[in-house]
Amino acid sequence: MITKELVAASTEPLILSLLAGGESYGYALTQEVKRLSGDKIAWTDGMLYPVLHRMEHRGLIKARWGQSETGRKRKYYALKKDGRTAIAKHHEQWSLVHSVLAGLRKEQYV
Amino acid sequence: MFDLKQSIAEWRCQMLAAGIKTPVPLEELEIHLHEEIGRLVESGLDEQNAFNTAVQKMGPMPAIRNEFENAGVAQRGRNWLIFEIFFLAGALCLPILVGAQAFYLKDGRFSEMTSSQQISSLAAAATLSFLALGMRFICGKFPVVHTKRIRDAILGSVVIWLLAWVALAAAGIMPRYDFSEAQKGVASLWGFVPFGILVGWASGHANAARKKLATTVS
Repeated sequence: MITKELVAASTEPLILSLLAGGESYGYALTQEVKRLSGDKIAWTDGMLYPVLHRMEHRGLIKARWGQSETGRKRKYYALKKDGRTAIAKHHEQWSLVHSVLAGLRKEQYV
Repeated sequence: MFDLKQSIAEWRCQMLAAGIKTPVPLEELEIHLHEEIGRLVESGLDEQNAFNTAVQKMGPMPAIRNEFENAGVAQRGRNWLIFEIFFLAGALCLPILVGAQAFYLKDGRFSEMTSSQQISSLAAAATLSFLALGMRFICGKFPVVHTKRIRDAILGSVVIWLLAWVALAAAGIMPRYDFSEAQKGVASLWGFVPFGILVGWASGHANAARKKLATTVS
């Protein structure tokens, strides 16, 4: 399992990246992250929504109420322009961290 | 016998007691709970186990509340409380202020008022406050508009009507009559009285919608 701190730090970039593929809702986001990480990233379900609300207040994403195929209400989230800019920044920063870590590891084995 | 609907209603009460009182987060969390229970039941769990598992996965309530507070959602609830305090204080203070002006301070238009005009001014202010407060408190009995956009549109239209009426009274109606300053003062106060109904309705309706969303079990 991924550590709690890393899960917290990666939540926003993961949400943004998932929403880059189209609008989605909270429950689907949690299921998608679980699937993509092979159950290694497990968000505490209730903690996702404060993050979504914070991102909405910051203008990264927008929300609308809709309906599921069963008629139940759902709140759908979609990326805004600032969200797309934020994804690019996140990718740049995470790539940098990854490349530094990879470089250090390589040095140890050379 | 396990009752899923009752258990979800109790969970909702616990969330309210834990401090998650703003309607949108609570509604979203409940929708999530429903989705997870549905998935777990489909995977073979009975309703009771599915409910318990879904609640456990939701996380500890105080932690969720803290996160929402950090996200600024609770702030809106507090802002609404401040608005309500100002609304009530404004409605209660208006007759006191008008009465003080008419009977004691007598500034501006109030300086030349006769005793009947003083009483009429006070009556107008009291009627406006009474209508605003009355509408504010009986709005819960009317059907609630759940869509915030429509409520905002109604509130916006109230403001537009208010401004249009003030402009019409100041530029179109008052100049037609040879009112003294005191009469203009009294007429202006009575002119605002119908807006007590509109302002009270707008405020009460928004409040009723908040409460309804916070307590409804979907």
